[in-house]
Amino acid sequence: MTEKEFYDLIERYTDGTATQQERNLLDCWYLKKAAGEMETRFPEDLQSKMDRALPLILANEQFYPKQPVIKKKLWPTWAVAASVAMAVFAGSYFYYQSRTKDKTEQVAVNDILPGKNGATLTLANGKKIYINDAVAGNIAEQSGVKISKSKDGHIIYEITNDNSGKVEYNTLSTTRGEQTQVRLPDGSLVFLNAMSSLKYPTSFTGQEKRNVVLTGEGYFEISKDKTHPFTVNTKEQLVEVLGTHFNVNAYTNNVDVKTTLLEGRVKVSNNSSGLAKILDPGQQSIVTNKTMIVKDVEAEDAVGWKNGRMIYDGETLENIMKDVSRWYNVEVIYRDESIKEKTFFFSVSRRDKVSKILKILMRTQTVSCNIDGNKIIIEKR
Amino acid sequence: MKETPLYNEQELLAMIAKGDNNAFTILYKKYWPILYLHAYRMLGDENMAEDAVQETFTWFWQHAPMIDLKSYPSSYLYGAVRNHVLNLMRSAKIREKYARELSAFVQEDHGLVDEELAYKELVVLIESEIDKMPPRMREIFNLSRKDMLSHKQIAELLDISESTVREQVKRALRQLRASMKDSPYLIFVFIQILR
Repeated sequence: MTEKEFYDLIERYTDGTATQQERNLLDCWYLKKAAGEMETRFPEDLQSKMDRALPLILANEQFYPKQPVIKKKLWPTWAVAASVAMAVFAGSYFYYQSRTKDKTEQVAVNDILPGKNGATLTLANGKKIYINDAVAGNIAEQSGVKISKSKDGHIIYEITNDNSGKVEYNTLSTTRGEQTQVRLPDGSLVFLNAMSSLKYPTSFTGQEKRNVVLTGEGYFEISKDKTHPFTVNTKEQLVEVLGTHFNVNAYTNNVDVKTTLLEGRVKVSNNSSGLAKILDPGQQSIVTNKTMIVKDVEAEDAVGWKNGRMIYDGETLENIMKDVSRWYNVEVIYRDESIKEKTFFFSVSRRDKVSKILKILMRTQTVSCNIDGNKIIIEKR
Repeated sequence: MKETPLYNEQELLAMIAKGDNNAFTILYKKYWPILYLHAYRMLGDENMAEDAVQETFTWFWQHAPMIDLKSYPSSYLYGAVRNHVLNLMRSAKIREKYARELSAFVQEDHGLVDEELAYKELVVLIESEIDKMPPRMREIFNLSRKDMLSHKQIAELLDISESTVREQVKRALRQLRASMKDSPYLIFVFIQILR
């Protein structure tokens, strides 16, 4: 069993979509482990761990039956013939440092809610539509393609007239604290993270290539069509899809663009140097100015965000907090520069309030975090 | 200080479903230690075990208003902790180790267990953590075998007397501990005993 198979098996088990045999296997294995010989260490501070954690739990809202809420997966599974899954991360982020002396407060008081689904669709004629406000139904009809919004807020394109008029471009963008998903005319799926945008044509018919332009971070599942290659353009690079699942992370202004491939093959070309590399699944290319390096990574972890999780395998505090500032729409203030380079390993749900992440960071006893309004202040402990 | 009257777990669940912090605190304090010890046994890491328990109680608190009030809170907690432990096993650091363990397990002939039985055994195993605690610690958490309602639950589920359950559990745990690593079939012998 590969790690990915293990990963997916558990997801199916907790989702309720596993087969009888799969459940049986996991149940038996789990029970055998639970009955195991391992001596349990009893930590000295069990009681205080318990007491500290309680208020953080009670600070959460409860869910009521009226509101549809229990979805283990943040995104539904779409039937896509075959796709490219890659992460592209590039674009600008917003945070600044301040030297003002703020009074510290308890992390739990004043907690901050995570982002939610939402986006702004800018049509070719310049008209802006805020996606969450439009009720399900048609948003616009443009050059032979019907754009509508499904019940759960996803934008769907359906081709109504194949030999339509000229091709027009829409731009779908998210601000801080927003994320969205769109199904393009060819059936391809794109998830957009916070502070990102995707410019795409309303119809792919009659074009040699399927071109889109990305800023920020997008996860792509591209429908197979060998005769019409799919390309993702960002300022710094061009990704040509040879068919599958990938994530493009193109956030930072200092041109550190990461493309992570999960399935299939992509060719990443650096726009300034002309260098190009083909990626295999499990590989990530990092483009910085004119250089490009390729390394092996935990690809599933890099796209954790589209599954509703933030997963870090030795990421620096600075990069983690950039993600936090975008999703939670907060400013991050560092009292000490040295802590920015500290690395962390953890995984949290994107639906948790920000205190959950801060608590995990503080567990290492090396930093302390406080929430002050919409600012997070981090200092060395 | 006002004395808290004693409620049974279903009454507590009804109160928690209405947002009662104190009722939640009672269940929290009661189940936290054994859920933590179970999670620690599975994950081998204090922080992860804490995460699993935290996520379990958070899930429970948030979903209480949606839970069937006729059921036992503990069944939700035990099922949830298993799911959260499994979820944490997926994290990059330890995933490889568990994937390998599961692969090896697949090779063994582990037979079939139906879900209900698997759950009952899970209950017993989690609660056996109490017996494995040093006495002083048990006192600190005010846990004694006879206080845990789940013996009664098991008895009801299996249609046998509570004392039978207690005796069987003691005997079975002794056996399990002694020979678990040699023969996985003992899990099923154990279940037969409970029948």
